[in-house]
Amino acid sequence: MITAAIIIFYILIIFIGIKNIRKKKENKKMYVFIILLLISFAINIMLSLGMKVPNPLKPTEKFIKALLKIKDDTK
Amino acid sequence: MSNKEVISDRQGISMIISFIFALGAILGTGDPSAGRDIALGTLFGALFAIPLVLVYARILYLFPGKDLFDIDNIIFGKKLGTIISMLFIWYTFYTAAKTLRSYSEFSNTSVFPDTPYIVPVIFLVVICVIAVYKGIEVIGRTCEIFAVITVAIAMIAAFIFSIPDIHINNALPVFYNGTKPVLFSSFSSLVHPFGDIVVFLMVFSNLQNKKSSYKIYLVGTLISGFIMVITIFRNVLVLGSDFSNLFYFKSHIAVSIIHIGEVFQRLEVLIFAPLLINVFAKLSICIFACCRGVQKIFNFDEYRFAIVPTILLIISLSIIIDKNLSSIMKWVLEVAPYYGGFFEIILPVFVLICEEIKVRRNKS
Repeated sequence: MITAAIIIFYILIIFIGIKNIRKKKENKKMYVFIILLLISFAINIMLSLGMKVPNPLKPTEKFIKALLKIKDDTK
Repeated sequence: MSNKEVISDRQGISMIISFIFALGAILGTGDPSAGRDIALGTLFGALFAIPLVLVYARILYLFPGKDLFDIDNIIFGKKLGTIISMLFIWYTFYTAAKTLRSYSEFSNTSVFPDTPYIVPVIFLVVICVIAVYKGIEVIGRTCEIFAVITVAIAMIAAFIFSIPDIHINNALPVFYNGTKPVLFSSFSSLVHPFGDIVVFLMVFSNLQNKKSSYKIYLVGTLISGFIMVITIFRNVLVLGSDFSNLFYFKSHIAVSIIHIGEVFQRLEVLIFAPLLINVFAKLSICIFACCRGVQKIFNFDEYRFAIVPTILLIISLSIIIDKNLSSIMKWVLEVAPYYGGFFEIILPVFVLICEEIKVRRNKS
């Protein structure tokens, strides 16, 4: 149910966005727009299906904790 | 079109006040290990922030009419400049996601316990999209009106209404735990609310005159530092250090104690309304900076097409960034000072040094 709602929402946004960008005929802008949207689409679909999404801050956290010798109890 | 928006000094100062006050007032600043001296730590943090803010102001002063992305390209060339710009964009992005997450956690735990996570977020984000679409001048004018109101409300709630509940013994003796925790707490509060204004390097491109950057940064930091110190001091005086460390949202608890006659009680809304307005301002400024960055990196003529994808990415990141409230607080207390310190202190100082070398070489 939530997954379907997310898919419909993204299709709507892509249609409206591309319609606005196409008027000026800028292909590069369209590619950036679609790539940014696809990344967030992938993350949101994974979240709605209950899958585990990797946290981009985790490697930095481990690095800083190793540097400061704080005990790392997060998994 | 977007390049001709001029930000007046007053608007700039109000934006900085809203930005610092957004989460600082509710989450508090500094490290709890400082105990009863935490307000002192915040005061030192605000004082240490002055040289840092002068660095930011100097970066903008040397190249008037340009923002950080242009300056990076001028100093480091196209390739290295893009990498450094991307680091700053990532930090802005991270700040926005953290702000959104903390706001929704606060509203989820304290105000609307049964509402799903996404609902308050959607309502907030829709206003932000409209504000960013209208441009930075509109955000500046909004802040100009609301900063005065939120500061006034916070001051009333912070001190005047709390006076009957204040126990001065809660703050004594000074330096009970030694100076080391206070210094660490001041570093933590330097990075978290005060250093966050590094984002404005990407926003302030057209200011009123050449010296505006100094005026905006200094006055904004001093006013917001003063309010922050008073807020934190109130929390310690009303709740006491041991009791207040039990809570994540100390201001909320401190204000809920207020009880004047039969009329003034349960004044939590005095905390929530300013929070909502200031988080809106902070989020809009961060999104604006991100979109500007995307525009400058790919050499587009305008930034508005990137608003919706950016904001959807911010919502996704705000969900995956942490598991729950306690892990957010753990990150904020243990890792965030060092993580933020790299982007807020080391990187801008490096940019300034290269900028000075470049400017002197051009002169000779």
